[in-house]
Amino acid sequence: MARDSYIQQIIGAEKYEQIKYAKVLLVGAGGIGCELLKDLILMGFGEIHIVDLDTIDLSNLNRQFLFRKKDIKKSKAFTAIKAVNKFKYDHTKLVPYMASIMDSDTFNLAWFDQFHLIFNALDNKDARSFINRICLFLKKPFIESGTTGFFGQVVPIFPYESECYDCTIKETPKSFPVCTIRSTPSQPVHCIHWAKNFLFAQLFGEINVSANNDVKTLGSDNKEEINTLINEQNELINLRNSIFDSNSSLEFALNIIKKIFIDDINKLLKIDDLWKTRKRPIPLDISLVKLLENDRKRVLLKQSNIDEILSNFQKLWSLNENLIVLIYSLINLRKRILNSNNPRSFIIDFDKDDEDTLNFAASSANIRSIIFDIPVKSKFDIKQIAGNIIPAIATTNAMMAGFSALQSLNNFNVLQHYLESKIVFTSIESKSMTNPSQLFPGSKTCASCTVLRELLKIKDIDNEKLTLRVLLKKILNNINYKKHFKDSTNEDDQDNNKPEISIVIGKNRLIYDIEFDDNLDRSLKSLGFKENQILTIKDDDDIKTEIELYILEDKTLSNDIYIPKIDNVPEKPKKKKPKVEPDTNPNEPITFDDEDDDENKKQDEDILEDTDDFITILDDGDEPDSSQLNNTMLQEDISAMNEKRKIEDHELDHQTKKIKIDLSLDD
Amino acid sequence: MSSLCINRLQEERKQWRKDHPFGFFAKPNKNSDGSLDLQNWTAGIPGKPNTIWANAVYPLTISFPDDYPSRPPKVKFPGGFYHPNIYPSGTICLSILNEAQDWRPAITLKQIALGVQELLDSPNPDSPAQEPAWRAFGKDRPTYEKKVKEQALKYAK
Repeated sequence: MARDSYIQQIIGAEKYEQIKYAKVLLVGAGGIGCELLKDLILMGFGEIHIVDLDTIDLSNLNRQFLFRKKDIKKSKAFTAIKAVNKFKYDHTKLVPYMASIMDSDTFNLAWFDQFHLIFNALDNKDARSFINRICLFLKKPFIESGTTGFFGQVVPIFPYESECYDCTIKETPKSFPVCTIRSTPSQPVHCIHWAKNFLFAQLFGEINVSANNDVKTLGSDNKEEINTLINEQNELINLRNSIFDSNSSLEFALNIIKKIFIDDINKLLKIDDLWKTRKRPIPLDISLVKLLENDRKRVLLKQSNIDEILSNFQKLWSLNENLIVLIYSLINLRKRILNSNNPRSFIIDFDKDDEDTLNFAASSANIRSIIFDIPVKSKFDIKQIAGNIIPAIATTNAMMAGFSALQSLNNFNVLQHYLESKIVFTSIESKSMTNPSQLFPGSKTCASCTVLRELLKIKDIDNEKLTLRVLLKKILNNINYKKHFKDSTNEDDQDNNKPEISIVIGKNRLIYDIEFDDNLDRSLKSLGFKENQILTIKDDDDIKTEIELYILEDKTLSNDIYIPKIDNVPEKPKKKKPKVEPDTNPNEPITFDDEDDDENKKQDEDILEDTDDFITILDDGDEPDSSQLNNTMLQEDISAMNEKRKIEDHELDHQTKKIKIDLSLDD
Repeated sequence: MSSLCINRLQEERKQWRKDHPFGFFAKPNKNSDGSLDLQNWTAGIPGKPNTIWANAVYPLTISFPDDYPSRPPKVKFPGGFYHPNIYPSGTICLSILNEAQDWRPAITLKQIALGVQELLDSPNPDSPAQEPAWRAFGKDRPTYEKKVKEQALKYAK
């Protein structure tokens, strides 16, 4: 039996032919990418282009099975296509690229347009959003996939027809406020962040010398105060200098421990206000430091003792063990600096795979945790947190890659309609491994897929005569914003060239708005117009939707500038309460507002009634003048009534939910 | 950077243009090519009249991250600014600018500017960000006021 007989049976020989001629793009050759590349090749896809800017790292090898130890430091994309050669039975054409997919000089819109379908196997939000935007421009379907540990999902996206990647707001990785890190940590991660990004950076990282200048400009007569201030700022510089000034490595290490874990904590404790609502930290016991100081015979700091502690990186170290590891790492780090060619300017970067720096971060974070009564973590856990390691599991990757490959069949008319494609999630229930979900229509308020997208073709971008004014005129002629513009500029009718729109080019460069017309007579070239950039036009009155124009140069044009005629720029969904600060989640469909309000009112009324009853009963109980209370029957009645109401409320709740779900489907 | 971020920054610029509190200014920085950098702004916060901060406009830099408005902008005074809740680097310790505390994507530039103005004359002694101003504010009010007034002269209108 031929290897492809099953797939032929499933989708039919004719549709299978399409796959043999299909050209697809796979973005990412990592955890999911390796699996997916294998799947797509075995399915017999005709041509696969694979893009990854990364090189192979030792830590990839446990799951990115196309790579071997000898491949470390080589390009992922190139190594992957070499590895799959052995089972490339259908002579799939493979084209690797080692580049960032967001590099529009390498990958322009036309390049993306050559593919029938795009597979995302990425590891970051930026690149995913980028592909989403490109696919919206091209109205090209793509399949998004991702995993975190045991969780994963595959989402087929059909631009403007189903939910796009930006329709749902993604959680951003947490960042921490300085105050929490420096003075009031409450979680292990705060201490780890402090150890790695603050303490380590101050001691061994890049030197910041500008600190002194500000003090002098403050101008104070109080000498003592100036001194405290300078001292404060110089203390850390002094610590760094102590790398060179100390008589011995042990002295250096113990000085740092005393300063950071005793003196600095005592200073913090003086700020009473900080500890009104928080538990006070307890500085390190000086006797522990003394103990280590007097450890001349190196009983505690014996290499065998240190090795034993370090050998167990899953164990929670005791305070003493943490101190020993910290001293050991400080001694090693100091040696590395002193032994370098230029010790005064030598810096060490934190690296989770550099044992000394990791030992330093783990032990100092733990000691700080103990001081602030926060649970300690094992070195293994701290490595994950400090190195921002997201756990990756080969099985989850393989499952999601498989579903991604399966869903791709729907783009070849396997289903009645491609919108019957399914989103696939790993399940959190034990009964099933995965759960499917239907596709949802895009959010009406999504900032990405409610935008109108077109091409802006320019014959010669270098043409100095092409000014912003010329472009603006062309935009106004071809895109029917006009009626609306006249309304908004009626006071200034003779100057129709100054519409109330704002124009941004590229990432963040504003080149025009009604109060910023300085650039009108400058050439597009001088304003930094380039191929493959995006121009964003926004209606200042917020009535019409935004327009994004993708800039292309086209020497064959008969005119200087080409913008397609757009007669109906759609209007934005109307905001319910204009001119009021939007307090609600801007993502929520506006149509919900009415319904929600009504439902809430209904519920509020019910609750009010309930409350009344409740108060009555209490009053009855508290006030002896109420004869009703003695009547147990009545009491029972009341509680029965309340019970009933509760059930009704519950039902109402249920109904409300139903209505909401129905509504969301209508959307 | 997403469409959401660009749209929102254009919106903030427009809103500020149409309506901003008296005596304040806020504008995107000018790039060398003549365009305006919507992610990096310069602003001026006037001290409230009849306070020790009065008669001065304090310069502020505002930088919006790529994932704004999911994340708050970074708002800074010049380094060494004298105020109990301003770090030596100039970074402002204010709950509405803090992702872990009160930042919400709906908070506007105007609200931020007014919030910073409010903070000037109503420092929060519970979250010290620098020692000199915090100590003087709590223990030596005449010195504190003298310093603030000196600083006001430096940034006088």
